[in-house]
Amino acid sequence: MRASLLLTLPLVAALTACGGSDGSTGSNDGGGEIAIAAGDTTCEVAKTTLASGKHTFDVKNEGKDVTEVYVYGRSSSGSDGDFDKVIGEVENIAPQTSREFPVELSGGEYEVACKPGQTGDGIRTKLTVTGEAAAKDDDAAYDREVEVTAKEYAFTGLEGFTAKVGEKIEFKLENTGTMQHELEILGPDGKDVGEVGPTDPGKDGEVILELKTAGTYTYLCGIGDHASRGMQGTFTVS
Amino acid sequence: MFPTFLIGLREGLEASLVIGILVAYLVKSGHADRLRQIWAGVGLAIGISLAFGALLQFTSAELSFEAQEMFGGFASLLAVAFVTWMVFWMRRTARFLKTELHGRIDTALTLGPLALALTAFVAVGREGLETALFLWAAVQSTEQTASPITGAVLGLLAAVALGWLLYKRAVNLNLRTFFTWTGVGLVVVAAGVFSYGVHDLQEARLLPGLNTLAFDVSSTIPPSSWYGTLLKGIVNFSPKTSVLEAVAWVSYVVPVLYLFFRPSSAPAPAAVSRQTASV
Repeated sequence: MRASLLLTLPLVAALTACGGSDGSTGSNDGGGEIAIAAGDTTCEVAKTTLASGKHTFDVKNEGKDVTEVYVYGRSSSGSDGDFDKVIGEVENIAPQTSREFPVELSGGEYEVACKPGQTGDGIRTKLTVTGEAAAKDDDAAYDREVEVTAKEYAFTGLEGFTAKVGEKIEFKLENTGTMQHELEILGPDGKDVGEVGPTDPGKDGEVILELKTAGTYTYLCGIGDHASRGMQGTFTVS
Repeated sequence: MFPTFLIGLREGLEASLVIGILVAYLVKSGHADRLRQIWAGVGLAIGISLAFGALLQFTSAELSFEAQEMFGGFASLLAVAFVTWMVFWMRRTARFLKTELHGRIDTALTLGPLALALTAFVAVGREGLETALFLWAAVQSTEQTASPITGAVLGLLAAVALGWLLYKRAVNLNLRTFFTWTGVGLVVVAAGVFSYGVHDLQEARLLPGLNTLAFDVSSTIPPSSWYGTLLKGIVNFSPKTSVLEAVAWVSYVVPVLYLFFRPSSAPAPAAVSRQTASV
């Protein structure tokens, strides 16, 4: 008896550990819960335009039959694929009960399908998700992206750029010139905040920076005498 | 109430039948004292499923769809491995039973008990999490209506009752018939679990081809009908079966049944196998 328990426990630990590491327990959801009222012939999704990110659907079965709800994406990339790639689902929703399921949605079109009787293609509702692909974790998350082009000897893309204190900006540098460039950013105190390191001609790179203090920031190319030749400028964070 | 009754029946039936056969086997081979290992595995599986399900339903903890399907998929594959092992272990013991060398059964059983508990554990735990989530959702709605939880519990009880009936029936069969039928029965059940596991892994997008269907008879055999429920509950028949699921089913059943009925090379057991095959 004791031996059998000892043998069983590692398995249990492995199974739960597997669930734990794969499952997300974070609460950085995009817009709270989205209610779905599923009837025998109806499927009402409370919100059909969503921001990209993690959403939790809360399904209430108001019908008499057992139902299941799917979120489908397109099977192939492009705009002509069928909606048959399962993004998320919850099965066995008994009449009068509610079930929740989390879904990670990146920008694009989706369909919600309620399947009363757990059969058929279901009652479909279109979902439109705005924004870029969902950020995978907090470190990579950013509020906004700004595209900067570097060419001998000037930057374009940062004219008139301003930001708010605390904003996380992804600076994306594209080198369209014929020699290496970089994008260095200095805070109001003149200290280095971060940089997109040396980038070869035709290549691009990016850095995500949180602009923590207000003031005037300086950006420049730190290679050779590029800055003094014109590859520098400022922007304001307020 | 009836829809949740059917779900409870479906989710509980397969595990109940496997446990029924396990128990019958132990009782028949004179090892009723080993039953507590089975109950330990069953109890642990139920306890963990309920606890983990409650965590997901009542707290902010959640499991992504892929993780849940992967759990179901891998747990199913594990269950297939254990049930297959059990079938051949019982077949081997059957030969000893036939020759009535009881000392040798004991030798066989010394290895068995550890794995017995695990077999019981995975047989119950495989669908445990999904069933627990379904049960807790029904519990949560009891403020409005008690009908879902009543139905679900009655369904699970009906599943247990059918497992018990199978046990009663099986324990009275003669040995040869018992081993042949329970063996074949377990192989068919395991094949269904195997193809179900493949389906889960297809949904988790670990395996391709979820929408490449071998057949779709869901209009003839609706999954929410009582006969659809029984087919699903006993042999895991899915009215909408993908090509990969069908291939998995056949490629399990054919070789395993062949090995099961293959005449053994050892002289004494050969007689048993021939008789077995003729049943």
